[in-house]
Amino acid sequence: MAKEKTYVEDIDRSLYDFRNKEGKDTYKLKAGLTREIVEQISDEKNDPEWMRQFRLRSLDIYNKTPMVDWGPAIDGLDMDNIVTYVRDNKKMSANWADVPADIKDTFEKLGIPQAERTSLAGVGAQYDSELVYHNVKDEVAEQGVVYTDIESALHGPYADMIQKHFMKLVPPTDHKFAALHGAVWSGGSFVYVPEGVKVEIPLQSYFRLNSPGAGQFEHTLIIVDKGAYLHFIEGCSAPKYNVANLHAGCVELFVGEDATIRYSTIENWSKNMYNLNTKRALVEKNGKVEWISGSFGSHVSYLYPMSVLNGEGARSEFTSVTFAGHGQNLDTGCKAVHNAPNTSSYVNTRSISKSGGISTFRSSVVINKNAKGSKSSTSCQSLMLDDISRSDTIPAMDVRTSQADVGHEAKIGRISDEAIFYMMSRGISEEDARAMIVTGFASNVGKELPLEYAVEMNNLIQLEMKGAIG
Amino acid sequence: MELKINRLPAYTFGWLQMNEAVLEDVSAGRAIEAQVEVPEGLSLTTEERSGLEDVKTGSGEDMDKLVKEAGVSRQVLEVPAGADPQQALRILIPCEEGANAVNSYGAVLGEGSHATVVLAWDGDRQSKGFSAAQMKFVVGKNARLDLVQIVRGGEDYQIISDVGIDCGEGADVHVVHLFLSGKEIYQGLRTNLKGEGSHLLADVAYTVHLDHKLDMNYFADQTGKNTKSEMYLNGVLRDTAKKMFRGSIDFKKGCGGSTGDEKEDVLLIDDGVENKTIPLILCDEEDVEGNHGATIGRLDEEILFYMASRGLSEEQIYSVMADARIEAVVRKIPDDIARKRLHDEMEDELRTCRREERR
Repeated sequence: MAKEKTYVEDIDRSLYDFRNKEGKDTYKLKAGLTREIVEQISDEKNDPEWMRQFRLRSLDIYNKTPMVDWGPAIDGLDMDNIVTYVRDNKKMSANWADVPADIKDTFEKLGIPQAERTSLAGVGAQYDSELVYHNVKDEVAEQGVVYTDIESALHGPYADMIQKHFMKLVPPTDHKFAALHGAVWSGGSFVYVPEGVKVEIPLQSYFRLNSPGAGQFEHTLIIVDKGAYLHFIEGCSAPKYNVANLHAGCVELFVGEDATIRYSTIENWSKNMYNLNTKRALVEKNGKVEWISGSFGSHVSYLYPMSVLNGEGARSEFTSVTFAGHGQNLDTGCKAVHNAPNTSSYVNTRSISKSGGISTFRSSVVINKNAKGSKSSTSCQSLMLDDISRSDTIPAMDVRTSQADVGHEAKIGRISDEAIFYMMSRGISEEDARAMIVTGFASNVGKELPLEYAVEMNNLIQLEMKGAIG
Repeated sequence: MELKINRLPAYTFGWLQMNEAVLEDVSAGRAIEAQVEVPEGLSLTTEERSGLEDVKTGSGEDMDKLVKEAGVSRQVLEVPAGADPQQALRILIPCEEGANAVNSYGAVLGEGSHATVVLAWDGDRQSKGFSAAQMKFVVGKNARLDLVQIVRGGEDYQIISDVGIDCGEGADVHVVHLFLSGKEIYQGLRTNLKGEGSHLLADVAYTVHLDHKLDMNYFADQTGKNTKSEMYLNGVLRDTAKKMFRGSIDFKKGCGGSTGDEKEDVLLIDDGVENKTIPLILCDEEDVEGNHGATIGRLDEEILFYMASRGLSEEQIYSVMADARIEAVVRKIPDDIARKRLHDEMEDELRTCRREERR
């Protein structure tokens, strides 16, 4: 007789946990963070002088900035052991056939070329520190949409635009790892959607970190002009190593008047990853940013996408699910700053903790004096699946005008015995009932994703709830 | 000395400046003579009682240091097992002009006993000074503590009120806090729900006006099984007042079957106010249920419409609703004498205000 299924195991990561050996075609700098290394990266990338100086200034800021006194411990991360730049010797291509076989095989396994053919308007694929593939469909490019790697944009016709916007929303002084990013950033995408253009099919960037002990520091800069629309999807994964890897990317979104951007992320880094990522959007009059976020991987995460609502009537929505399993300490949430009248922010999050995982929801809503008529609503729910896990909620609200309405509600608890009992009375097994409840609990994110990605996310949960209940 | 008080049990983003309150250049004063009414048959003693020293408080270790540096002896009420004195222990700390006072009190409630303790600050509305008081309680098995604190300080008065309560099995604690005036008020309340089935209910009301500031830290530390914490706050901010509320429910490992609930409802009357709220739930145990909610802003449209249809102006509606929030908590004061005294004084003040408005 089969063993009674009584507990929920960790996510099955075998789909993502394959690795390529570094060979003669791999070029990597020595580990550590010094002025020489930063200059070497700058040389590698043939930076314009302003960028070279920017990197060096960021390094100075990094060295002077203390680590924050809140959040999960990152004692296991030693920058002396992190390689900040790794690349393959082959150049980036717009044709999968030109991508080195082992790298192409990696992205094939992850389903990226298939997704490009069936459901995407363009794809960028980054492997370690550099993009290996970048392409955008002709019909989208013909509308004037620019989707390219950020290094090319630095030297092309958009160089001034990059200089004007690069790390202006997330300055290196923001925090220690923003400064680190400013010093050693490499790879990432630049997107420009011209006025009035609606990109109905999503663009996607996929980041793969293959090298053990390496860091990935891609920069994503997106400008959506007046009245335009874009859905951008970001995916990330890495094989698991027994040394620390670091991801300190940066995303800057500029959302113009009446424009909308939907930014979806399925984060599935391996459990040796320190994910210290920074994402921020500046939203102009009647513009809207929608953050959709699924956090499943990483050993430690600090991730709080921020929406700065700068124009009258600007809006933000943040929908997320965080799943913390064994060995994971995921500190996630969001920030909203209301800087103009009649702005609104809406937050809807779910977090699940199991097998000793720690999940923290951390947020801040700031309504400034000039944001009269603004509204904010936050709902966060946490589910504890066993008695060895932990779940915290730390939401902050700072309201500086009486002409605002702010609401907040949070719940922490376990799966109710009544719900299980009810479902079992309808002929559903206990294990299936638990799986159904957890899937339903996370559906706030699933229903916001394109079908293919919702399926991927649900598969992640189902793998965990079905295959691994033992 | 610099005091860092009212710390969050888990820090958050530093730029929000919510993690703690920092008071600079605080000098340890002396105990000020308070008006004390002791229940018949009981007395206050300065002999140290075991367990009180170790009780953790809401304002934190710096308050312990301040009390120690001031060299103030703790005055302790001991309530024998099974005792249920009819009168409350009433302590009135006068807000004297120029005072720099540090007072310390405590109470040990024996098994099955009951005590009502009322601590109030009151005095000349124009006075300027500093007053800090720390209260520590050990509430025994199945004992009940009713704690009432009323702060009505001078317009230039700085007050720190720091409380720590250790709860035994089945202990029941009901706290009523009213913050009515004072330039800067800091309130710490930590309830250590150690005993199985122990319970905290905190009903809090505040009105902060002018450029005054209220900084609160309420912390329910739930370690015992089947414990329950409830914290309900209702407040009104006017003029350029500032308010900070930190509310934490901490479900520690082993507190299975426990629940926690905190709610804050803040009415913002004038446009210059600043309201900060950070309600935490920390959860290290599966079999618990924690909820928190906050509503911050103006009155609901339906209430406004209903009351306007009864002939009230918007200004009158806000005034009535603000008074109602305070009155609702005043009614929960279990000590008849303290409740009537406060009610009468508030009525007098209201009449004076209305006379001034008519002029």
